[in-house]
Amino acid sequence: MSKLLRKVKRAYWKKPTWLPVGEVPATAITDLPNKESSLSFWRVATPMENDMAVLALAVNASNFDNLDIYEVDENIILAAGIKIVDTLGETAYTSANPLHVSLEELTTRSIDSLCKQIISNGKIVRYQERDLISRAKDNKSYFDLSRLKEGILSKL
Amino acid sequence: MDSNLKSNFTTPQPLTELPMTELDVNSTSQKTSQTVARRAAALLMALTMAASASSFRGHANNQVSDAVFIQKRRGERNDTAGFDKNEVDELFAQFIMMINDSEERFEDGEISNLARSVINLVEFNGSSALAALNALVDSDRNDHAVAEILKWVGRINNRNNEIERVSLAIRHLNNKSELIRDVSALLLANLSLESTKDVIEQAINSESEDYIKDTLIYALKNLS
Repeated sequence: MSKLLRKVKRAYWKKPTWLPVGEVPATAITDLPNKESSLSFWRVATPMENDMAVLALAVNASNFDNLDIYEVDENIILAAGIKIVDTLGETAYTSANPLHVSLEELTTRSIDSLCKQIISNGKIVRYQERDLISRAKDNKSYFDLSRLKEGILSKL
Repeated sequence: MDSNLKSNFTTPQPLTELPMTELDVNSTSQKTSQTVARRAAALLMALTMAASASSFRGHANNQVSDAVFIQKRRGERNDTAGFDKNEVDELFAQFIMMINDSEERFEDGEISNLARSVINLVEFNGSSALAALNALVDSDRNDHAVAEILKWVGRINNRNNEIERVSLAIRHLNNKSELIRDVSALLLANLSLESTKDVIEQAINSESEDYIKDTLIYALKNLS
C-alpha cells in the first residue's frame, strides 16, 4: 500500500481547544495553497522511496531546515473521491522526481475533505535538519546541482 | 532508485560543521564588501523608517513603552546590562513595525524578507539588536513571525555574538509558545554545544509536545 507525503507547516494543523469535533481550523486551508486546483504530493511504497521523497523536498528549498511531513494512505485519499495523477517532480533530486503526484480537479469540497482526512487520519513526521544535510551529502552525486539554491549547495 | 540511500533518517550523524549557509558572515573573502552592503541596507531601512515616523510615532511610542516595561521586568536578571537602553528600545520598535508590516507566509527552509531585514539590523547593531530580539520574544507578539525571526537570526554564523545567540535559544526553551520552543530546540540541535547539555535535559523533562521533545533528544544525542 502506498502512502502520500506532503511538506506541511505543523502549527497550522494544530487543533485549538475550541475546535468542534469533525471540524478543521481555518489555518489548515492556508497550508494547502493550490495551483490550478491541484496539489503537490509524493507517492511512496517503500522506506527507500519515503527517504527519497523527503530528501527531494529538503533540497528543493532555499535552505536546509527541520521538515514536517504529512503522510496518509493513498487509499484514504482515493476513497474521498480525489483524483491522483502521476506528474514528474521538478526537484534537483532527479531520480526521486518520478515519485511526484498531483491531486487534481480539486474543489472546495474535496479540499475540505482532504483537510479532514489530514486532521483525523494522517500523521506528521518530523525530520531533523542535520540528518537531512547528512543524507543530502551522501546523495550529492544524484542531484542536478544546477537546480540547487545557494543555501543548499553551500552545505554539500 | 539510489542504491546507497539508507532508509533510516533517525540515525544520529556525526557533526561536521555548523549548519550555516548564506547567513555565514565570516566565511567568504568578500566579508568587507558584504558588511558594507549590509550596513548600507540597514541604513536605508533606518531612513525608510524615519520617513514614515510621523504616522508611526504614536504606535512606536507604545511599543517602546512595552520594551521599557519588559526590560524593567528583565532588569532583575540584568539581561540588558551593558547595552544602550535607548538603542534597544528603538530596535525593539523597529522589529515590531516590521512584524506589523509583514504579510508574508513563512515556509520551512525559506528565509523570509522579514527575517532578512532583522538579520541586517542584528549584523549592523550586534548585541543591542539581540537584546531587543530577546525582549521581542518575551513580548508575546505574533509568535509565527517571532519564531521565524528567531530561527534565522539564530543561524547567523558570527562568532562575535555567538554567546548571545546561544543564550537566546536557551532562554526561550521554556517559552509558552510551542513555535518559539520548537525553534529554540532546533537552534540548539544545530549548535551542538556540550555546554548546553544540562538545559537540554531539563527541557526534555518539561516539554509537553512530543515533536519538540524529539528534537531535544536528537540535540542531546548529537552534542559535540
